Amino acid sequence: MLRNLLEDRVALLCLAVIGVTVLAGLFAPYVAPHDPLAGNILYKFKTMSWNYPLGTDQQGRCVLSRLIYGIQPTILLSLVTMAATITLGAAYGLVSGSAGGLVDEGLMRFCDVMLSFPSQVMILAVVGMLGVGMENVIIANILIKWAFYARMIRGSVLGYRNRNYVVFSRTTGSGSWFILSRHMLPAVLPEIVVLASLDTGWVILNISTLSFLGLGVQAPAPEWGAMLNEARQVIVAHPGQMLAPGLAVLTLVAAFNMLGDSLRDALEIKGSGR
Amino acid sequence: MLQVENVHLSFKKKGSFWRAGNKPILKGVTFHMRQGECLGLIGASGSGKSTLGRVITGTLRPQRGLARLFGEDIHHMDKAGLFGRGRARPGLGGVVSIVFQDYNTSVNPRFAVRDILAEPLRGTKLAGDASYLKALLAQVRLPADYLGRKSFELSGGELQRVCIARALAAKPALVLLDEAVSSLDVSVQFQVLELLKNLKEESGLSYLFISHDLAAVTHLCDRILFFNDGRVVEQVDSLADLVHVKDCYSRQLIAAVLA
Repeated sequence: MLRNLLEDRVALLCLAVIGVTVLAGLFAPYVAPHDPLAGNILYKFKTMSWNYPLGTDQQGRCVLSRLIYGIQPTILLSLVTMAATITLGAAYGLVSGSAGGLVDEGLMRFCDVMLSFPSQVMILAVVGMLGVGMENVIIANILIKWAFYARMIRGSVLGYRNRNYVVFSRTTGSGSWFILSRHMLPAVLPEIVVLASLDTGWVILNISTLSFLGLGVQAPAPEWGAMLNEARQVIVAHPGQMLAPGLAVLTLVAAFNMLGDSLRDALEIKGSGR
Repeated sequence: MLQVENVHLSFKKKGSFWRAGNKPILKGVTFHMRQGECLGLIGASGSGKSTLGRVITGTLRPQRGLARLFGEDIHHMDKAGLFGRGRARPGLGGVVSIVFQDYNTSVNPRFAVRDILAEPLRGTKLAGDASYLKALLAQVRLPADYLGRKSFELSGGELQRVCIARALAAKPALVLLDEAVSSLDVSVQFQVLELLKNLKEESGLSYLFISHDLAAVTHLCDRILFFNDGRVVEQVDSLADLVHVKDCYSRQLIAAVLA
Protein backbone atom coordinates (compact mmCIF):
# COMPACT_ATOMS: atom_id res chain seq x y z
CA MET A 1 0.00 0.00 0.00
CA LEU A 2 2.83 2.38 0.93
CA ARG A 3 4.55 1.80 -2.43
CA ASN A 4 1.33 2.53 -4.33
CA LEU A 5 0.84 5.65 -2.25
CA LEU A 6 4.37 6.92 -2.87
CA GLU A 7 3.89 6.46 -6.63
CA ASP A 8 0.85 8.76 -6.52
CA ARG A 9 1.94 12.38 -7.12
CA VAL A 10 -1.29 13.84 -5.72
CA ALA A 11 -0.76 11.85 -2.51
CA LEU A 12 2.82 13.08 -2.24
CA LEU A 13 1.70 16.68 -2.76
CA CYS A 14 -1.00 16.28 -0.08
CA LEU A 15 1.48 14.69 2.32
CA ALA A 16 3.88 17.58 1.68
CA VAL A 17 1.15 20.18 2.35
CA ILE A 18 0.07 18.42 5.56
CA GLY A 19 3.68 17.83 6.64
CA VAL A 20 4.74 21.46 6.11
CA THR A 21 1.60 22.70 7.91
CA VAL A 22 2.15 20.40 10.89
CA LEU A 23 5.85 21.36 11.12
CA ALA A 24 4.99 25.06 10.90
CA GLY A 25 2.43 24.57 13.67
CA LEU A 26 4.85 22.66 15.89
CA PHE A 27 7.63 25.22 15.46
CA ALA A 28 5.31 28.25 15.42
CA PRO A 29 7.36 30.31 17.92
CA TYR A 30 10.41 29.97 15.65
CA VAL A 31 8.63 30.35 12.29
CA ALA A 32 6.12 33.14 13.02
CA PRO A 33 7.60 36.62 12.49
CA HIS A 34 5.53 38.28 15.27
CA ASP A 35 3.61 37.61 18.45
CA PRO A 36 0.10 36.57 17.29
CA LEU A 37 -1.59 38.44 20.13
CA ALA A 38 0.49 41.63 20.02
CA GLY A 39 -1.41 44.28 18.12
CA ASN A 40 -0.77 47.90 17.35
CA ILE A 41 -3.81 49.88 16.33
CA LEU A 42 -1.58 52.23 14.32
CA TYR A 43 -0.66 49.33 12.01
CA LYS A 44 -4.20 48.04 11.38
CA PHE A 45 -5.10 46.80 7.89
CA LYS A 46 -1.54 47.05 6.62
CA THR A 47 -1.04 45.52 3.19
CA MET A 48 1.54 42.83 2.43
CA SER A 49 5.11 43.86 3.18
CA TRP A 50 8.43 42.25 4.15
CA ASN A 51 7.63 42.94 7.79
CA TYR A 52 4.02 41.67 7.54
CA PRO A 53 3.98 39.11 4.65
CA LEU A 54 0.16 38.72 4.79
CA GLY A 55 -0.59 42.14 6.17
CA THR A 56 -2.29 42.93 9.50
CA ASP A 57 -5.86 42.63 10.80
CA GLN A 58 -8.23 45.20 12.33
CA GLN A 59 -6.23 45.26 15.57
CA GLY A 60 -2.88 45.55 13.83
CA ARG A 61 -1.85 41.92 14.51
CA CYS A 62 0.31 39.99 12.01
CA VAL A 63 -2.05 37.77 9.95
CA LEU A 64 0.71 35.30 8.99
CA SER A 65 1.74 34.86 12.64
CA ARG A 66 -1.87 34.30 13.68
CA LEU A 67 -2.28 31.83 10.82
CA ILE A 68 0.83 29.89 11.90
CA TYR A 69 -0.14 29.88 15.58
CA GLY A 70 -3.67 28.90 14.51
CA ILE A 71 -2.37 25.61 13.08
CA GLN A 72 -1.91 24.12 16.54
CA PRO A 73 -5.51 24.37 17.76
CA THR A 74 -6.95 23.60 14.32
CA ILE A 75 -4.92 20.45 13.57
CA LEU A 76 -4.28 19.31 17.14
CA LEU A 77 -7.94 19.49 18.07
CA SER A 78 -8.93 17.75 14.82
CA LEU A 79 -6.46 14.93 15.44
CA VAL A 80 -7.55 14.54 19.07
CA THR A 81 -11.19 14.42 17.93
CA MET A 82 -10.42 11.88 15.20
CA ALA A 83 -8.30 9.69 17.49
CA ALA A 84 -11.01 9.57 20.16
CA THR A 85 -13.79 9.03 17.60
CA ILE A 86 -11.94 6.24 15.84
CA THR A 87 -10.93 4.50 19.07
CA LEU A 88 -14.50 4.53 20.35
CA GLY A 89 -16.07 3.63 16.98
CA ALA A 90 -13.52 0.92 16.18
CA ALA A 91 -13.83 -0.75 19.58
CA TYR A 92 -17.64 -0.68 19.35
CA GLY A 93 -17.67 -1.93 15.75
CA LEU A 94 -15.14 -4.70 16.45
CA VAL A 95 -17.07 -5.96 19.46
CA SER A 96 -20.42 -5.75 17.68
CA GLY A 97 -19.24 -7.45 14.48
CA SER A 98 -17.36 -10.19 16.30
CA ALA A 99 -20.09 -10.97 18.81
CA GLY A 100 -22.93 -11.26 16.28
CA GLY A 101 -26.43 -12.35 17.28
CA LEU A 102 -28.43 -10.39 19.82
CA VAL A 103 -25.42 -8.41 21.11
CA ASP A 104 -24.77 -7.15 17.58
CA GLU A 105 -28.46 -6.35 17.04
CA GLY A 106 -28.66 -4.38 20.30
CA LEU A 107 -25.45 -2.44 19.72
CA MET A 108 -26.43 -1.60 16.15
CA ARG A 109 -29.89 -0.35 17.09
CA PHE A 110 -28.23 2.04 19.57
CA CYS A 111 -25.96 3.14 16.69
CA ASP A 112 -29.03 3.74 14.53
CA VAL A 113 -30.49 5.99 17.23
CA MET A 114 -27.25 8.02 17.38
CA LEU A 115 -27.10 8.29 13.59
CA SER A 116 -30.71 9.47 13.37
CA PHE A 117 -29.86 12.84 14.98
CA PRO A 118 -29.05 15.66 12.51
CA SER A 119 -25.32 16.24 13.11
CA GLN A 120 -25.16 20.05 13.25
CA VAL A 121 -28.26 20.28 15.44
CA MET A 122 -26.76 17.67 17.76
CA ILE A 123 -23.46 19.59 18.00
CA LEU A 124 -25.26 22.82 18.81
CA ALA A 125 -27.43 21.03 21.37
CA VAL A 126 -24.43 19.41 23.10
CA VAL A 127 -22.41 22.65 23.13
CA GLY A 128 -25.52 24.47 24.33
CA MET A 129 -25.91 22.03 27.23
CA LEU A 130 -22.22 21.70 28.17
CA GLY A 131 -21.24 25.30 27.47
CA VAL A 132 -18.97 27.09 25.02
CA GLY A 133 -15.38 25.86 24.77
CA MET A 134 -13.08 23.63 22.78
CA GLU A 135 -13.39 20.60 25.11
CA ASN A 136 -17.14 20.61 24.62
CA VAL A 137 -16.78 21.03 20.86
CA ILE A 138 -14.55 17.94 20.83
CA ILE A 139 -17.05 15.97 22.94
CA ALA A 140 -19.88 17.04 20.62
CA ASN A 141 -17.92 16.00 17.51
CA ILE A 142 -17.08 12.62 19.03
CA LEU A 143 -20.72 12.06 20.01
CA ILE A 144 -22.03 12.62 16.51
CA LYS A 145 -19.30 10.76 14.62
CA TRP A 146 -18.45 7.61 16.59
CA ALA A 147 -21.60 5.75 15.51
CA PHE A 148 -20.70 6.22 11.85
CA TYR A 149 -17.29 4.62 12.48
CA ALA A 150 -18.82 1.83 14.53
CA ARG A 151 -21.15 0.97 11.63
CA MET A 152 -18.42 1.06 8.99
CA ILE A 153 -15.98 -1.02 11.03
CA ARG A 154 -18.65 -3.50 12.05
CA GLY A 155 -19.43 -3.96 8.33
CA SER A 156 -15.76 -4.72 7.60
CA VAL A 157 -15.54 -7.11 10.56
CA LEU A 158 -18.55 -9.04 9.24
CA GLY A 159 -16.64 -9.48 5.97
CA TYR A 160 -13.65 -10.96 7.81
CA ARG A 161 -15.49 -12.93 10.49
CA ASN A 162 -16.02 -15.96 8.27
CA ARG A 163 -12.67 -15.88 6.51
CA ASN A 164 -11.09 -19.31 6.68
CA TYR A 165 -8.14 -18.15 8.79
CA VAL A 166 -10.51 -16.76 11.41
CA VAL A 167 -12.55 -19.99 11.37
CA PHE A 168 -9.30 -21.96 11.75
CA SER A 169 -8.30 -19.79 14.68
CA ARG A 170 -11.66 -20.45 16.37
CA THR A 171 -11.33 -24.19 15.58
CA THR A 172 -8.02 -24.29 17.44
CA GLY A 173 -9.56 -22.63 20.49
CA SER A 174 -8.15 -19.09 20.09
CA GLY A 175 -9.88 -16.58 22.31
CA SER A 176 -11.85 -13.53 21.18
CA TRP A 177 -9.05 -11.14 22.18
CA PHE A 178 -6.45 -12.98 20.06
CA ILE A 179 -8.81 -13.10 17.04
CA LEU A 180 -9.69 -9.42 17.42
CA SER A 181 -6.16 -8.17 17.94
CA ARG A 182 -4.23 -10.42 15.53
CA HIS A 183 -6.74 -11.08 12.74
CA MET A 184 -9.57 -8.55 12.75
CA LEU A 185 -7.90 -5.28 13.75
CA PRO A 186 -4.94 -5.54 11.31
CA ALA A 187 -7.44 -6.44 8.55
CA VAL A 188 -9.66 -3.39 9.12
CA LEU A 189 -6.83 -0.99 10.02
CA PRO A 190 -6.17 0.23 6.44
CA GLU A 191 -9.88 0.99 6.05
CA ILE A 192 -9.85 2.90 9.35
CA VAL A 193 -6.84 4.95 8.16
CA VAL A 194 -8.61 5.83 4.90
CA LEU A 195 -11.81 6.81 6.69
CA ALA A 196 -9.84 8.85 9.21
CA SER A 197 -7.93 10.82 6.59
CA LEU A 198 -11.15 11.50 4.68
CA ASP A 199 -12.89 12.70 7.81
CA THR A 200 -10.05 14.78 9.25
CA GLY A 201 -10.90 17.41 6.64
CA TRP A 202 -14.51 17.33 7.80
CA VAL A 203 -13.46 17.76 11.45
CA ILE A 204 -11.15 20.70 10.63
CA LEU A 205 -14.01 22.34 8.81
CA ASN A 206 -16.40 21.61 11.66
CA ILE A 207 -14.08 22.99 14.35
CA SER A 208 -13.47 26.09 12.24
CA THR A 209 -17.22 26.47 11.73
CA LEU A 210 -17.89 26.29 15.46
CA SER A 211 -15.10 28.77 16.20
CA PHE A 212 -16.56 30.99 13.48
CA LEU A 213 -19.89 30.82 15.29
CA GLY A 214 -18.14 31.72 18.53
CA LEU A 215 -18.67 28.32 20.14
CA GLY A 216 -15.13 26.93 19.87
CA VAL A 217 -11.81 28.76 20.34
CA GLN A 218 -12.49 32.16 21.84
CA ALA A 219 -10.96 35.46 20.77
CA PRO A 220 -8.24 36.68 20.90
CA ALA A 221 -6.67 33.18 20.63
CA PRO A 222 -5.58 32.52 17.03
CA GLU A 223 -7.64 29.84 15.28
CA TRP A 224 -8.60 29.77 11.62
CA GLY A 225 -12.37 29.70 12.18
CA ALA A 226 -12.12 32.41 14.83
CA MET A 227 -9.97 34.50 12.44
CA LEU A 228 -12.71 34.17 9.81
CA ASN A 229 -15.26 35.30 12.38
CA GLU A 230 -13.18 38.39 13.18
CA ALA A 231 -12.67 39.11 9.47
CA ARG A 232 -16.44 38.80 8.92
CA GLN A 233 -16.98 41.97 10.93
CA VAL A 234 -15.00 43.98 8.35
CA ILE A 235 -16.00 41.99 5.27
CA VAL A 236 -17.45 45.02 3.41
CA ALA A 237 -14.54 47.39 3.99
CA HIS A 238 -11.72 44.81 3.91
CA PRO A 239 -12.87 41.58 2.19
CA GLY A 240 -9.21 40.50 1.78
CA GLN A 241 -9.09 39.73 5.52
CA MET A 242 -11.15 36.59 4.86
CA LEU A 243 -8.69 35.36 2.25
CA ALA A 244 -5.75 34.06 4.31
CA PRO A 245 -7.68 31.95 6.90
CA GLY A 246 -10.23 30.89 4.26
CA LEU A 247 -7.57 29.66 1.85
CA ALA A 248 -5.71 27.95 4.70
CA VAL A 249 -8.82 25.96 5.69
CA LEU A 250 -9.57 25.17 2.04
CA THR A 251 -6.03 23.95 1.30
CA LEU A 252 -5.71 21.78 4.40
CA VAL A 253 -9.19 20.25 4.07
CA ALA A 254 -8.58 19.55 0.36
CA ALA A 255 -5.18 17.98 1.19
CA PHE A 256 -6.73 15.62 3.77
CA ASN A 257 -9.63 14.72 1.45
CA MET A 258 -7.39 14.03 -1.55
CA LEU A 259 -4.98 12.04 0.62
CA GLY A 260 -7.95 9.95 1.76
CA ASP A 261 -8.89 9.30 -1.88
CA SER A 262 -5.33 8.27 -2.70
CA LEU A 263 -5.17 5.99 0.34
CA ARG A 264 -8.42 4.36 -0.74
CA ASP A 265 -7.05 3.80 -4.27
CA ALA A 266 -3.81 2.36 -2.89
CA LEU A 267 -5.82 0.00 -0.69
CA GLU A 268 -8.05 -1.16 -3.55
CA ILE A 269 -5.04 -2.08 -5.70
CA LYS A 270 -3.69 -4.23 -2.89
CA GLY A 271 -7.06 -5.82 -2.22
CA SER A 272 -7.46 -7.01 -5.80
CA GLY A 273 -4.39 -9.24 -5.64
CA ARG A 274 -3.65 -12.07 -3.27
CA MET B 1 -13.34 -42.16 17.52
CA LEU B 2 -15.90 -39.75 16.02
CA GLN B 3 -19.63 -40.26 16.44
CA VAL B 4 -22.08 -37.93 14.76
CA GLU B 5 -25.57 -38.65 16.03
CA ASN B 6 -28.80 -37.31 14.55
CA VAL B 7 -27.39 -33.82 13.91
CA HIS B 8 -29.97 -31.24 12.85
CA LEU B 9 -29.03 -27.68 11.98
CA SER B 10 -31.02 -24.84 10.43
CA PHE B 11 -29.98 -21.37 9.38
CA LYS B 12 -32.19 -18.34 9.84
CA LYS B 13 -33.60 -17.16 6.53
CA LYS B 14 -32.91 -13.55 5.67
CA GLY B 15 -35.93 -11.37 5.10
CA SER B 16 -38.55 -9.29 6.78
CA PHE B 17 -40.04 -10.28 10.14
CA TRP B 18 -43.11 -11.97 8.67
CA ARG B 19 -41.13 -13.85 6.02
CA ALA B 20 -38.29 -14.92 8.28
CA GLY B 21 -38.00 -18.60 9.04
CA ASN B 22 -35.48 -21.38 9.31
CA LYS B 23 -33.85 -23.17 6.42
CA PRO B 24 -32.86 -26.71 7.42
CA ILE B 25 -29.31 -27.55 6.29
CA LEU B 26 -28.54 -30.76 8.20
CA LYS B 27 -31.49 -33.13 8.64
CA GLY B 28 -30.49 -35.86 11.05
CA VAL B 29 -26.93 -36.76 10.05
CA THR B 30 -25.62 -39.92 11.70
CA PHE B 31 -22.33 -41.72 11.09
CA HIS B 32 -19.20 -42.82 12.92
CA MET B 33 -15.48 -42.93 12.20
CA ARG B 34 -12.72 -45.19 13.47
CA GLN B 35 -9.27 -43.99 14.51
CA GLY B 36 -6.75 -44.08 11.65
CA GLU B 37 -9.51 -44.23 9.08
CA CYS B 38 -9.97 -41.98 6.07
CA LEU B 39 -13.65 -41.38 5.53
CA GLY B 40 -14.86 -39.66 2.36
CA LEU B 41 -17.95 -37.46 2.49
CA ILE B 42 -19.12 -36.83 -1.03
CA GLY B 43 -22.03 -34.76 -2.24
CA ALA B 44 -23.11 -31.94 -4.49
CA SER B 45 -22.29 -28.30 -3.77
CA GLY B 46 -24.79 -26.85 -1.29
CA SER B 47 -25.76 -30.22 0.17
CA GLY B 48 -24.48 -29.24 3.63
CA LYS B 49 -21.09 -31.03 3.70
CA SER B 50 -19.05 -28.01 4.82
CA THR B 51 -21.69 -27.08 7.41
CA LEU B 52 -21.34 -30.58 8.83
CA GLY B 53 -17.57 -29.98 8.87
CA ARG B 54 -18.10 -26.79 10.91
CA VAL B 55 -20.22 -28.77 13.39
CA ILE B 56 -17.43 -31.34 13.74
CA THR B 57 -14.79 -28.63 14.30
CA GLY B 58 -17.03 -27.17 16.99
CA THR B 59 -17.49 -23.76 15.35
CA LEU B 60 -21.21 -24.38 14.71
CA ARG B 61 -23.55 -25.79 17.32
CA PRO B 62 -26.33 -28.08 16.08
CA GLN B 63 -29.90 -27.44 17.24
CA ARG B 64 -30.40 -31.16 17.82
CA GLY B 65 -28.08 -34.15 18.04
CA LEU B 66 -24.38 -34.08 18.89
CA ALA B 67 -20.91 -34.81 17.63
CA ARG B 68 -18.64 -36.78 19.96
CA LEU B 69 -14.89 -37.23 19.78
CA PHE B 70 -13.57 -40.06 21.94
CA GLY B 71 -16.96 -40.05 23.66
CA GLU B 72 -16.84 -36.36 24.59
CA ASP B 73 -19.22 -33.77 23.14
CA ILE B 74 -17.11 -31.60 20.82
CA HIS B 75 -19.01 -28.45 21.85
CA HIS B 76 -18.17 -28.90 25.50
CA MET B 77 -14.47 -29.57 25.00
CA ASP B 78 -11.85 -27.22 26.40
CA LYS B 79 -10.27 -26.51 23.04
CA ALA B 80 -7.61 -24.14 24.35
CA GLY B 81 -6.57 -26.84 26.81
CA LEU B 82 -6.61 -29.53 24.15
CA PHE B 83 -4.37 -27.42 21.96
CA GLY B 84 -1.91 -27.30 24.81
CA ARG B 85 -2.21 -23.70 26.00
CA GLY B 86 -0.01 -23.39 29.03
CA ARG B 87 1.60 -26.79 28.47
CA ALA B 88 5.07 -27.61 27.24
CA ARG B 89 3.80 -29.73 24.36
CA PRO B 90 0.61 -29.66 22.33
CA GLY B 91 -2.23 -31.82 23.49
CA LEU B 92 -2.59 -35.19 21.88
CA GLY B 93 -5.98 -36.65 21.06
CA GLY B 94 -9.32 -34.93 21.07
CA VAL B 95 -8.20 -32.24 18.67
CA VAL B 96 -9.86 -31.57 15.33
CA SER B 97 -7.97 -29.56 12.75
CA ILE B 98 -9.05 -28.39 9.32
CA VAL B 99 -7.70 -27.73 5.81
CA PHE B 100 -9.92 -25.54 3.63
CA GLN B 101 -10.54 -25.45 -0.10
CA ASP B 102 -9.60 -21.80 -0.61
CA TYR B 103 -5.95 -21.58 0.41
CA ASN B 104 -5.92 -17.81 -0.30
CA THR B 105 -8.31 -17.01 2.55
CA SER B 106 -6.99 -19.82 4.77
CA VAL B 107 -4.02 -17.86 6.04
CA ASN B 108 -3.74 -14.35 7.40
CA PRO B 109 -2.01 -12.43 4.57
CA ARG B 110 -0.04 -10.42 7.16
CA PHE B 111 1.52 -13.53 8.68
CA ALA B 112 4.79 -15.13 7.63
CA VAL B 113 4.81 -18.95 7.30
CA ARG B 114 6.44 -19.09 10.77
CA ASP B 115 3.45 -17.29 12.34
CA ILE B 116 0.95 -19.38 10.36
CA LEU B 117 2.47 -22.63 11.63
CA ALA B 118 2.87 -21.33 15.18
CA GLU B 119 -0.76 -20.18 15.57
CA PRO B 120 -2.24 -23.53 16.69
CA LEU B 121 0.79 -23.99 19.00
CA ARG B 122 0.26 -20.64 20.73
CA GLY B 123 0.91 -20.84 24.43
CA THR B 124 3.29 -23.79 24.09
CA LYS B 125 7.07 -23.80 23.92
CA LEU B 126 6.84 -25.35 20.45
CA ALA B 127 5.43 -22.09 19.01
CA GLY B 128 8.88 -20.54 19.20
CA ASP B 129 10.81 -23.70 18.39
CA ALA B 130 12.21 -23.13 14.88
CA SER B 131 13.40 -26.74 14.57
CA TYR B 132 9.86 -28.04 15.22
CA LEU B 133 8.42 -25.61 12.65
CA LYS B 134 11.09 -26.65 10.13
CA ALA B 135 10.25 -30.29 10.77
CA LEU B 136 6.60 -29.48 9.99
CA LEU B 137 7.65 -27.93 6.69
CA ALA B 138 9.81 -30.97 5.92
CA GLN B 139 6.79 -33.18 6.60
CA VAL B 140 4.93 -31.47 3.76
CA ARG B 141 8.06 -31.48 1.55
CA LEU B 142 8.81 -27.75 1.76
CA PRO B 143 12.29 -26.28 2.39
CA ALA B 144 13.12 -24.85 5.80
CA ASP B 145 13.83 -21.34 4.45
CA TYR B 146 10.10 -20.95 3.69
CA LEU B 147 9.56 -20.07 7.37
CA GLY B 148 10.28 -16.41 6.72
CA ARG B 149 8.13 -16.12 3.60
CA LYS B 150 4.74 -14.42 3.34
CA SER B 151 1.74 -16.19 1.82
CA PHE B 152 1.81 -14.09 -1.38
CA GLU B 153 5.33 -15.37 -2.08
CA LEU B 154 4.08 -18.96 -2.33
CA SER B 155 2.31 -20.79 -5.17
CA GLY B 156 -1.16 -22.26 -4.64
CA GLY B 157 0.20 -25.77 -4.10
CA GLU B 158 2.87 -24.55 -1.68
CA LEU B 159 0.36 -22.52 0.28
CA GLN B 160 -1.97 -25.52 0.57
CA ARG B 161 1.00 -27.57 1.87
CA VAL B 162 1.60 -24.86 4.49
CA CYS B 163 -2.08 -25.16 5.45
CA ILE B 164 -1.68 -28.94 5.78
CA ALA B 165 1.45 -28.43 7.93
CA ARG B 166 -0.50 -25.98 10.11
CA ALA B 167 -3.32 -28.50 10.48
CA LEU B 168 -0.79 -31.12 11.63
CA ALA B 169 1.13 -28.77 13.96
CA ALA B 170 -0.79 -29.60 17.14
CA LYS B 171 -0.82 -33.34 16.37
CA PRO B 172 -4.58 -33.61 15.85
CA ALA B 173 -6.60 -36.76 16.26
CA LEU B 174 -8.72 -35.90 13.24
CA VAL B 175 -7.98 -33.71 10.22
CA LEU B 176 -10.97 -32.41 8.34
CA LEU B 177 -10.12 -31.87 4.66
CA ASP B 178 -12.86 -29.57 3.34
CA GLU B 179 -12.49 -29.76 -0.46
CA ALA B 180 -8.77 -29.46 0.27
CA VAL B 181 -7.62 -30.23 -3.29
CA SER B 182 -10.54 -28.87 -5.34
CA SER B 183 -9.02 -25.49 -6.13
CA LEU B 184 -5.62 -26.88 -7.17
CA ASP B 185 -4.72 -27.80 -10.74
CA VAL B 186 -4.74 -31.51 -11.61
CA SER B 187 -0.99 -32.19 -11.28
CA VAL B 188 -0.75 -30.36 -7.94
CA GLN B 189 -3.95 -32.10 -6.80
CA PHE B 190 -2.28 -35.47 -7.33
CA GLN B 191 0.86 -34.35 -5.46
CA VAL B 192 -1.18 -33.13 -2.50
CA LEU B 193 -3.31 -36.30 -2.42
CA GLU B 194 -0.14 -38.42 -2.44
CA LEU B 195 1.29 -36.25 0.35
CA LEU B 196 -1.87 -36.70 2.44
CA LYS B 197 -1.75 -40.46 1.81
CA ASN B 198 1.90 -40.66 2.90
CA LEU B 199 1.27 -38.54 6.00
CA LYS B 200 -1.59 -40.82 6.98
CA GLU B 201 0.63 -43.88 6.66
CA GLU B 202 3.54 -42.21 8.50
CA SER B 203 1.56 -40.70 11.37
CA GLY B 204 -1.58 -42.82 11.57
CA LEU B 205 -3.79 -39.75 11.06
CA SER B 206 -7.56 -39.89 10.61
CA TYR B 207 -9.06 -37.86 7.78
CA LEU B 208 -12.61 -36.78 7.11
CA PHE B 209 -12.34 -35.87 3.44
CA ILE B 210 -15.22 -33.67 2.28
CA SER B 211 -15.39 -33.39 -1.48
CA HIS B 212 -17.57 -33.43 -4.58
CA ASP B 213 -14.76 -35.13 -6.55
CA LEU B 214 -15.36 -38.88 -6.53
CA ALA B 215 -11.98 -39.61 -8.16
CA ALA B 216 -10.09 -37.78 -5.38
CA VAL B 217 -12.19 -39.47 -2.70
CA THR B 218 -11.61 -42.98 -4.08
CA HIS B 219 -7.86 -42.21 -4.31
CA LEU B 220 -7.56 -41.39 -0.62
CA CYS B 221 -10.45 -42.87 1.34
CA ASP B 222 -11.15 -46.27 2.90
CA ARG B 223 -14.89 -45.69 3.19
CA ILE B 224 -17.32 -43.29 1.51
CA LEU B 225 -20.52 -41.61 2.63
CA PHE B 226 -22.79 -40.12 -0.02
CA PHE B 227 -24.40 -36.93 1.19
CA ASN B 228 -27.44 -35.26 -0.33
CA ASP B 229 -29.86 -32.59 0.90
CA GLY B 230 -28.49 -32.59 4.44
CA ARG B 231 -28.56 -36.37 4.92
CA VAL B 232 -26.24 -39.34 4.52
CA VAL B 233 -28.01 -41.25 1.74
CA GLU B 234 -25.60 -44.12 1.13
CA GLN B 235 -22.59 -45.69 2.78
CA VAL B 236 -19.93 -47.61 0.86
CA ASP B 237 -17.57 -49.66 3.04
CA SER B 238 -15.15 -50.62 0.30
CA LEU B 239 -14.41 -49.20 -3.11
CA ALA B 240 -15.50 -52.50 -4.71
CA ASP B 241 -19.02 -51.81 -3.42
CA LEU B 242 -19.33 -48.63 -5.48
CA VAL B 243 -21.02 -50.60 -8.26
CA HIS B 244 -23.72 -51.79 -5.85
CA VAL B 245 -25.01 -48.45 -4.58
CA LYS B 246 -28.80 -48.24 -4.42
CA ASP B 247 -29.48 -44.56 -3.88
CA CYS B 248 -30.51 -42.72 -7.03
CA TYR B 249 -28.36 -39.59 -6.41
CA SER B 250 -25.26 -41.68 -5.61
CA ARG B 251 -25.74 -43.75 -8.78
CA GLN B 252 -26.04 -40.54 -10.82
CA LEU B 253 -22.83 -39.20 -9.28
CA ILE B 254 -20.90 -42.39 -10.06
CA ALA B 255 -22.32 -42.51 -13.61
CA ALA B 256 -21.27 -38.89 -14.16
CA VAL B 257 -17.68 -39.66 -13.09
CA LEU B 258 -17.51 -42.81 -15.22
CA ALA B 259 -18.94 -40.94 -18.22
